[in-house]
Amino acid sequence: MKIRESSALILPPYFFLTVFFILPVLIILILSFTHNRDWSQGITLKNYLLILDPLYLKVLIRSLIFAVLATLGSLLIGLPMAYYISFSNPKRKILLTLLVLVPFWTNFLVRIFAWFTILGRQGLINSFLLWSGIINEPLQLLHTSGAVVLGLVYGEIPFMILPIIAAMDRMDISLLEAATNLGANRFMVFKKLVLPLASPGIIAGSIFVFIPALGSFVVPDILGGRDSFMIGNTIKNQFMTVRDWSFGSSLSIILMVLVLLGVSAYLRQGRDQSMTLGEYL
Amino acid sequence: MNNLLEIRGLTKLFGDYAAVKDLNLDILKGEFFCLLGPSGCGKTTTLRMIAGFDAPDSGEIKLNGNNLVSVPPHKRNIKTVFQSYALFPHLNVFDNIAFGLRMSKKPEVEISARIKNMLETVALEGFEKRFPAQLSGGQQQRVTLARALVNQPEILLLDEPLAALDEKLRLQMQVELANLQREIGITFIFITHNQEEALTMADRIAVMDEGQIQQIGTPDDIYLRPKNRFVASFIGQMNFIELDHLEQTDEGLLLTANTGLQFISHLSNPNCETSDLCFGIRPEQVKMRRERPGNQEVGFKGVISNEVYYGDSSIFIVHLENDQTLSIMHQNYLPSGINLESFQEGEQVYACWNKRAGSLLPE
Repeated sequence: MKIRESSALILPPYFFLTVFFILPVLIILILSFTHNRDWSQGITLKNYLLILDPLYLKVLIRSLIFAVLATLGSLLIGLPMAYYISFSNPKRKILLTLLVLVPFWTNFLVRIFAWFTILGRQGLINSFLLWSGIINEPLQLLHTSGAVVLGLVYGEIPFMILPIIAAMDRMDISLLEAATNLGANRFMVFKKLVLPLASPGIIAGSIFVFIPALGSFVVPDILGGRDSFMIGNTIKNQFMTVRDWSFGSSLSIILMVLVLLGVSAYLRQGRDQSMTLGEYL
Repeated sequence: MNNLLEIRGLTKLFGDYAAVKDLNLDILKGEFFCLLGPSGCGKTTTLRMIAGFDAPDSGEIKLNGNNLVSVPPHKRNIKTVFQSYALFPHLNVFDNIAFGLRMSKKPEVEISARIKNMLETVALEGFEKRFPAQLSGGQQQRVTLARALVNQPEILLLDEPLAALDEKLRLQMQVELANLQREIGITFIFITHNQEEALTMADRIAVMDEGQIQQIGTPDDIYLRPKNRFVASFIGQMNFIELDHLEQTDEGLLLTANTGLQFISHLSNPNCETSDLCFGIRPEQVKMRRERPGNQEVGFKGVISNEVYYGDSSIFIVHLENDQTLSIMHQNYLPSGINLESFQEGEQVYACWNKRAGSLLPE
């Protein structure tokens, strides 16, 4: 009886997910096999074959590269930050964790546009370089691939930092003292203890960054140029501009399958490496 | 003369509070030394300064005559057994024990040989591939011990390592630890708040309170000749009789308690303020009798109010005249199994002790 009641309680979220997540995905899946919603022409695979066109293939590969770079960049910056925050005294830790979340208080578009004032021709970086005489002509920083990756890192990095902090918080400080006592210097303590023990957080953070980065279209729209748009932009264009919903749908499905395959492979590999770890954390 | 570790004027402040105050200590090579004290007495802080986890505010720690204070913790040849064991959860037993040897870049062949040896010593052969979470508390304890000892440290620090074990296992580990230390000859500094652990294992004990050492001595010294009231009350059980004044007479010292009780003692005159002096006598030094005390004894009439039965012996609570209460240990049986004289609650008895027994304790 009790179990029945508690399963009744969980029904609303299931209902919500079915209606607002699974159904739309099913609709997209069906659409992707039609001749742009023209049901009279029957079903087709052409929307999927279209992706083999070098034009789209290039965008897809570029998107994967950007997402991987954004994940690596977030990890490179986020790991030392999480380490520092996690080992700060409790008061400072709360403050610093809060600061990681502060960007969420402002609209994402506004924050991305704010990069114009830094990367633009008259932006902070160019102004400084011109003023100090290092360059004579402003550098093209905006609307480049670099700007897109930078924007992705900037947008997603809190999702890298927070799970790593959570993983490090579970670490017993006496473990680090034990390692020091056994002759490990700071670097070795980090490498032999902190890193492996934080790996569940690193794995989670990487997934949280990689997935939204791969599907992103706002960042490349604003910070990218002609040669740096991503698969997200293509999908958006198919729906909003070209109005080929079926091709947009097939691209969405392909992206989703890629993410699922990538993440499950990553998790499987991560599990093998940290199997012993997962058992105890 | 062969001091391995010398501590001089060691002080550690936490804000205004001195956790360790001007501490002096000499530890001999190869001894089993015990730092004993209640929680908050500064013993763990002292240990952390020896290991290098905390830096002292002033004072010196010398190992073989070389100042240690400026040496970073990972370069000290002093290993620690942590109270929480602190085994690395992602490494198996072998890799845990190998950690220190790998840090000092020993060849793998030597590492394997030394670990094999060590696992034999702590009776954990065949456990190499197990992970810490797959071991019992006692086994984890041994791995921690092995992980520290395999590096052949000059000193092994043990921070209440037996506190988490159950009673039976703790007794067993006490014997094993003492044997192990004698076998390998490495200097042990053992931290505990458990007087029994200290008395059973240590060659010498330092009793600590309020950041200072109250007394250093062999277990015998500490138990039989406590230097002050703290040591006497912390180690074993002790009856205290607060003194009002004392007077040298022909028969010996005439002690007058603040309850009005007067008796002769053959202890030597401590020559200090009597106001904060008390007479301490252990429950096993007091005898209960139905007949009057003998010549060499002091005896007072009293009434048994309670008996606390322990099987082989009982502790009797006896109310003397003048509101003085004494705990008296009474043996219930002889080793041959013959019952000894038994006493009943409410019975009138004499509480007697030898005039040479007990101690005069300053505050």
